[in-house]
Amino acid sequence: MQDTPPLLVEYVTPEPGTARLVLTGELDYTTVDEAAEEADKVLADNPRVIELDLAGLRFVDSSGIAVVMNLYRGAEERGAALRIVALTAYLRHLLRVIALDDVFDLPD
Amino acid sequence: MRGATGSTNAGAARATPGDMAALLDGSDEGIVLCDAGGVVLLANAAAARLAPEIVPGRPVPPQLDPAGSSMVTYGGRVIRVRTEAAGDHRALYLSEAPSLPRRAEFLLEAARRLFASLHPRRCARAAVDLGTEFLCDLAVVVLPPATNRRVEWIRAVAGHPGPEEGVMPLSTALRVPGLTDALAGLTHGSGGRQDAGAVPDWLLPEGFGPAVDLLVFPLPGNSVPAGAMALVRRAGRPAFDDEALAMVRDLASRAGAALSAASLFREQSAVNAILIDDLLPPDLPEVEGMRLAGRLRSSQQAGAVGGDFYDVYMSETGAGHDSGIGIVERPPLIILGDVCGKGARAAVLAGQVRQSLRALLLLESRPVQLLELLNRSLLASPAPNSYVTLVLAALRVAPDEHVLVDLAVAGHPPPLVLRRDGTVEEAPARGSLLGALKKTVVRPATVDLAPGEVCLLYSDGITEAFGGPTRREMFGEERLKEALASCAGMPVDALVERLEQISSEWLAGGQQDDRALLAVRAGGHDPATGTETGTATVATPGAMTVWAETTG
Repeated sequence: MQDTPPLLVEYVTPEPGTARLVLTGELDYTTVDEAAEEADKVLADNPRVIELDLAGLRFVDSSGIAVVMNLYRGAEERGAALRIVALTAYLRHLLRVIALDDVFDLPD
Repeated sequence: MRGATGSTNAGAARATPGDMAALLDGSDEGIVLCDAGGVVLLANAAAARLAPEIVPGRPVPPQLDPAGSSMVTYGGRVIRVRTEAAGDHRALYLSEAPSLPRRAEFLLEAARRLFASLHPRRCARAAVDLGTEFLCDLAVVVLPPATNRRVEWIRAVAGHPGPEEGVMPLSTALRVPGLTDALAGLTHGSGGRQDAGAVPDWLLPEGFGPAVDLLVFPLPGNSVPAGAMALVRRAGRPAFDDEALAMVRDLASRAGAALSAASLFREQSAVNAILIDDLLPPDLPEVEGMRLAGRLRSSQQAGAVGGDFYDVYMSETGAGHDSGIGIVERPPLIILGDVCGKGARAAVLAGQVRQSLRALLLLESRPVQLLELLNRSLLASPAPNSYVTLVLAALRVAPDEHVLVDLAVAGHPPPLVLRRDGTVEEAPARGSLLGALKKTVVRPATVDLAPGEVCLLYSDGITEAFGGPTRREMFGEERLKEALASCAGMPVDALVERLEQISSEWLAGGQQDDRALLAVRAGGHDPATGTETGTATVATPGAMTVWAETTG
């Protein structure tokens, strides 16, 4: 796990009005600050749609879930839609355990 | 080296070994030739001067034989060493580095020793030692007075072994002239020079003799002074000169910074310890008709104690009827949860959840409604990241030593149930995590435990432990289920201990997150204690699982 940087956060704009965060690596207590910062930037830009690409996340802990939840609540307040556009089987399971699989529009 | 060796031109002069030795000895640079094993073959006079331990036939002192070039401290000197290959042998070239000016040397030493510890007294000891070593005959640090009007002092005297320390009334300490102001952060006169004749008795040890010069000055902290210091020179020595006064200023600023860092660290550690008490599990009480056992292991990352917790809420026996405020009757209740994040913030949140629940339980006993109320209270919390996952279980004693466990799960892995025949089931309860959504979904379940059967609540620190043969594989739910199945028939204490052990072995010394386990076993007696409820009766698997579903 030391081979690669623990977390990469990319903020891309695939089309006007849509903000996408691509997270790669481990989203945990030690790495959330950077992700939270990018999430704040996304909210500040007021997009209509926020997309999360989590296909590259190997691990998420409760602090990582908090970043996603903060983004969800921030989007809700601003009337933006939050979509998880890609994720792993592990994350799908995790979201099922915390019963957020119904809340997020998960890809098939 | 170029030169005439062997027979070349007839008549040409040849350097004799004596010439070579004279040549080498004439060099100011120490030159040492040693074999591959580090044994000295040849050493010139300069090398012997720099390091008398360099003797032909003996190994080179290891600190003088670094790889490549480097500066080493040897016998109180700083020596520059350069090593080079010389045929099959190696040559060492040694030269003494120019000695640092005394003030620079002092600064280096001060930084090294003062910041070696985050313990205020150890910092103070380093400060007084530096004082007596470089500047004076006696040095005292007085730490800021605590509320009880007493102060801690640390004193070093040149020629005496180790600093002494103690506590004295502030009023006594303040007999040192200038100390009142110094403790308030003020310096008077030239570097805080005070009347050496007014030194009080407590400052000087017996036989010290009269003082000729006294400096009293503050140790500046971050916003408040980190203490004060007094330096004394005794009769027979000159007063502090300008260079010494400059070094005193250096010492004061560095000791102040080190002390305030250490004090801050100590305060934060104490505050953390208080907060973390909120995460400590309670002693598990005896509950009629069942047995409880729990384990809580905190993360080993320093300062990052995580947010796993569990708690037990016993019935409020009889209180409701007398008080007239309608306190509800309810069975005992256990919770196991995980708050978001780590450290003090997590501890505060966990404490908030446990205390909120304690209050809510006076008025509401139904698990699903309790989760709803907790969710609302967390949503209203102004603190960021107030997200919590937990399992709440009401424990009802049923006939024939059965226990009915009413489960409500909020964003937490569902509890596991160990049946008497060794099968392991996942309780069918589910629900969303708390503190995030205005509308939560809770699907409760009731599990019927026959005597000897176990319901296990656990945190994801158990299943998400990275380890195993590759050291990067998650322990996972399947392994936990297998481990639990292997515990059939065990007393509940032993079961919890075994699961913790299996999880620790999986981690194999790797970094561990928080891990919490809480198990309830139906039946009043554990198998090990004699009367073996649950193992003596004919096994009728308690497979009656009651379902209920609500949407909040």
